Amino acid sequence: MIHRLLRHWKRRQLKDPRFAGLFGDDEGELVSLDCETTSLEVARAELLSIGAVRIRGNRIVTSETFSVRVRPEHLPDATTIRVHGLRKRDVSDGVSPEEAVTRLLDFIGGRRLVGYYLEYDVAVLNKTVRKLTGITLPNRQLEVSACYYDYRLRQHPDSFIDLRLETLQANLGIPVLPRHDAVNDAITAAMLYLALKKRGAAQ
Amino acid sequence: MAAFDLLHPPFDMLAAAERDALTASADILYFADEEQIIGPGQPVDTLFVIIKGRVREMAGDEVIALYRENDTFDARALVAGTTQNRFIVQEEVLALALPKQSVLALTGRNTVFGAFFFDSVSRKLGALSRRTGNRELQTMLAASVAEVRTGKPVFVEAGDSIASVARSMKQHKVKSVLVRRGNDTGIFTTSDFRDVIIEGMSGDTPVGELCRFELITVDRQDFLFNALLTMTRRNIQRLVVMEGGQAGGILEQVDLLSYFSNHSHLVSQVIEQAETLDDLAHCSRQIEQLVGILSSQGVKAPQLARLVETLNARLFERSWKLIAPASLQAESCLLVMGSEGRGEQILKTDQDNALILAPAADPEQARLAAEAFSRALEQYGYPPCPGGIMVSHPDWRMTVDDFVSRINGWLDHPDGESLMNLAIFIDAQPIAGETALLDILRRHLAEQLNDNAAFYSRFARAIEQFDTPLGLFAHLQTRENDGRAQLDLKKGGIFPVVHGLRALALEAGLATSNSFERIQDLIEAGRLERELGNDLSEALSFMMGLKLSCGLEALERGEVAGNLIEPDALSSLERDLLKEALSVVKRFKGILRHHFRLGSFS
Repeated sequence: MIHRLLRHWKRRQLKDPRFAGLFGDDEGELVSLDCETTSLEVARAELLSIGAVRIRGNRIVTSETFSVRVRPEHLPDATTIRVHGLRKRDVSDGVSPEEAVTRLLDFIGGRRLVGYYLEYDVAVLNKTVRKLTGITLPNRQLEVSACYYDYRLRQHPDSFIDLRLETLQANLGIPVLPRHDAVNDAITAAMLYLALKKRGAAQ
Repeated sequence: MAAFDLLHPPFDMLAAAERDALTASADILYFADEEQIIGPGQPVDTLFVIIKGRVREMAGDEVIALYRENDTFDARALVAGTTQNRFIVQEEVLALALPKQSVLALTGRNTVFGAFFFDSVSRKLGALSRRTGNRELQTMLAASVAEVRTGKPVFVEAGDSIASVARSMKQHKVKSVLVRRGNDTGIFTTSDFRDVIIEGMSGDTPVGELCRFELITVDRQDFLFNALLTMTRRNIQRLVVMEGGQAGGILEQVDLLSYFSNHSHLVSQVIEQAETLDDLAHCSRQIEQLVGILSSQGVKAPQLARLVETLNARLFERSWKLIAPASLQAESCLLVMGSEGRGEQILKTDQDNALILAPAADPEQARLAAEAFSRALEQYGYPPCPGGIMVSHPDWRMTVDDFVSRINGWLDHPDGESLMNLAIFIDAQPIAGETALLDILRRHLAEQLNDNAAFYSRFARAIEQFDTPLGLFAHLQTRENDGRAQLDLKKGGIFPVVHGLRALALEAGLATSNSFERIQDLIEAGRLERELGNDLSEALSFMMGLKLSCGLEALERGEVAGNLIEPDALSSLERDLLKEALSVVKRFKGILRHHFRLGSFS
């Protein structure tokens, strides 16, 4: 109810009709996404790469993945290079954040978003989304770690619930992919989502 | 970077670019427990590669295969576009879904890869032997012609008469001679004599008129591999070995092949010269070592089995000669039976043997000799037969007349034990002594069985003996990693094939006892479809090989070679082939059931 009102409100705020697709039909699909950024602080973080993959029923449509490299305004510093492995030369041939996000929004359309600590990714994306459209991402969002939390709590009330990615993967039997590659992380989140959905723990 | 790489067979045969393109076209699918992935009447447009989890393939209520990580299913259904079997999730599955067009397009471009998808079991197994054959090739590539003992060439002059050439060949014990004519050298072989006889030529004809002067040669320093290739390509049995531009020797195909069984030659010589049972025990250990060496050089199980059969027969014969008094030897016939009789026992699994006595034989003498013989075999490493099927047991050491009434007893009261005894006896081969004694029994059996259809049906029924409702993978009932999952290769695979062939051969009155020969004879007699026969050969050969390699590993660990194998320990290609082999077994069983009307007994 609130979501619908909010969407309705954002629809009216939308500056650029190019992005009307964000309010379109979800076509029964979701989009799992992940971003690599220059920092872990939203205020300072700039996009380095975006990976996204659609989920259709029990299928992760890896045959149509979305992957884009972004050239940040400030080049990544040594500490973050160690995390994501994207060196200055790797991102310098990327596209502008506006271009990358425009393409991403087209890929997402009206679909619901899925991710692991999605809030952070969406917050970083919204910095550019707002610039382009005047609004923040209107898509509904599904946080796999929250679904997992509810699922574990139902099974083991009162227990401490470890929400580290490795723990989720181990407990849900999801294979571990090389990390800090935006597409792989998006696929991982998608697999977690499907495993949780089969357990009745994700709507 | 792809999330999941296709690095396992058959995808390891793809070029990197082909693999990347295939991976890029793949989706990831997720299935919950007990979900049906493919079923009858469902169009199959996807090839699945399991990333994680397990899938079982069901034919009706029976589990016929289990697929796990990196396994692919189902190539056959993909090509056919449909399947009668159901593929059910055994344990939560994540799978790569490869679209049909991408896979089929690749099979067209990459023929090795294609072979995996279109071909019958025969060719598929061939692909494996090409892979494992690498080891054989490496040894062969490393060896040069110089390492093989080649015969010294025998030279004759072009003007010599063929009659004198024949004498010279006989004298030098060679199958070919080199013919000198000025600076030319030709070759004349025993097979050329066929033409001499067919054409009705006179013995005075000069050899120079008949021989070929274009020699097919190989250099002494050349690789054996090239020599074999040349022989195969030209379909010839020998090459002239050139040394410094001169014909220095003849490389016979036999020499080349026996290069591998080099030791076998020595072992058999030692057996002939052995004077004590201890010497023979030593030989027996050498045979075992030889099996290990040859197997690691890539010699296939059926060939190996025939070699071991020959050596063992000599070993037993020699032992019997050392043990039994001459009079007993002349008045008895020593038999090997069961797998040893069929020539399919590679590692020492049991000693199935018997002794038929002529009426004149001294029973006490026979008892002493038989007991000594069984002891000797035990010393060689043959475990005593748990069912007592050996000469030391009075039931298997009898006069011809007693054996005749014993056979009648088996036929009159065909219970489980009788039929098992009969089955073992049918595979009997004479080792030493008076072969006519065995012939008497064989004739008697054939007369008794004449057209007794109900009996054959009862006899064949043993193939149903080991069919568990679970299918062949005994661990299927239990879900997750509970200890080691094992499979009885003999009960589940080898026995039904061997026994089915035995039943068919018995019914057809065939004299052969080796399963591969039975297959050929049954095909020729029109009693077995050629395609099924070939598939059976390949499947049996593969299962024997698997049993052998698992047995050798067990021996290395100091354990006893048995029939249990662990599917988890196999490569996924081997598992794939095992599944194919077992599905051939199932097909064969179905045909036997129909042929012998096995449903009509309760």
